[in-house]
Amino acid sequence: MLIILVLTLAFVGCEELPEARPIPETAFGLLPIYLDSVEGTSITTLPPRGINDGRGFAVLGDTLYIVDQLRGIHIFDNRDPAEPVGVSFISIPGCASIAINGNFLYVNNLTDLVTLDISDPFNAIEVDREPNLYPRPLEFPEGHVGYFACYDSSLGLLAGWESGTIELPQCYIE
Amino acid sequence: MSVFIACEADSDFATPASNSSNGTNSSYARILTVGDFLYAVNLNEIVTFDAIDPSDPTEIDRQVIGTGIETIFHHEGILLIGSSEGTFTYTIEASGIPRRRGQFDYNTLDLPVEPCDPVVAAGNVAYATLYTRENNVGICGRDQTINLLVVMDITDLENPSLITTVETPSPRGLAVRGDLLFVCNEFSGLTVYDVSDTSRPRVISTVNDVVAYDVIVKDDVLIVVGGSELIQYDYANPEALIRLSTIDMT
Repeated sequence: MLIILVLTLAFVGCEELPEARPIPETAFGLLPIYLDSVEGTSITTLPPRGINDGRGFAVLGDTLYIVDQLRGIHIFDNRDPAEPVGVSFISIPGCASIAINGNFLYVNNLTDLVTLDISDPFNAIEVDREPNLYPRPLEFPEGHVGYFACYDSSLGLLAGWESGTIELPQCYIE
Repeated sequence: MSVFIACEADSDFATPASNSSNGTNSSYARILTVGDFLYAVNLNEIVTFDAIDPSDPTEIDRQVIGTGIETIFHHEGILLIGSSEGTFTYTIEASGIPRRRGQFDYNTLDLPVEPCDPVVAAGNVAYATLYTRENNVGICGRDQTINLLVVMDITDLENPSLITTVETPSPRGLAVRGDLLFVCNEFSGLTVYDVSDTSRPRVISTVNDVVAYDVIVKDDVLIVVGGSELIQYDYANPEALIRLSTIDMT
């Protein structure tokens, strides 16, 4: 993967150096999702909703816990696998992995490992937080090819990336 | 992939006794509960927490593993760590602290670029999927891809060895149950392999009309998640999976 600040060639030492790209007025690509430090650690239980980007998941008994990449956890009642029923969605910024023990759910919230009491799946309660177990999210959209709006740490925490129109995009991944 | 079949007395590495009610993780796990212990991997370390009080995990150990650590899997007292450089083997000591045993190094496969991978195991055999993203740019801008299922013998945890590799389209999460291996191929669906002969995994069936990122086998049900979908199958006849339900609420 090659990340290029459009004006600056960030990569040297190879024979096949890419050409510097012109900066278009607008381009379709990815933009950082910013959170302030309060939003970034705010974990809230919401009504069930659609899965956006389902990744890893866990099962305990008849309940499914599905990671929606960087967004949170979907809880499903799966007593009847022919008819799973959405129970709730726990919004957890930066969420990428979970584990379950009884009524406790362990999950990352951005860089922290958080313990949630999910005895009441309609109201998950944060009971413990181990800070800075994980590195900050990559400051570029991994796996993306094309223009993206450069992440600017002065604007807040990076929660993830979303598609959109970028004005004068300065960053590009080949 | 039922984690707690593992507590039988005759297994080489017993899981610490516990009253805990651990969930089963899919293969892309980076956090894992085993008995009263909680294991978390970050980019280069494995961190152990005592979670005998599950509401208040306490860090008791932290070890450097390597680079590009991606997943953690538990199997009969053995921890398998998936990374971009190889599969690492650990055993869980009575204290709950992992002890490093060995590694299978992907360098031995002579890959053109570093892959991403989860790893799972059954018996003495571990399965890892190695892939690189489409449009992956290797050294000096050359487009190179890896799409491999790697089968390893972990009988000797100090020296895991290669059994075979199989090309498979864009492999992601995977799960093994008995002689069946289920491999997610993301936008290419899901492949079911017969691994009764681990040196020659044989494709039994494929499902193409799903986005399959990760999978758990629970009893008689195969649970598949990918994109906006949650899809479950009856796999009693692995030659023709029967779809039980589809959740796609987008």
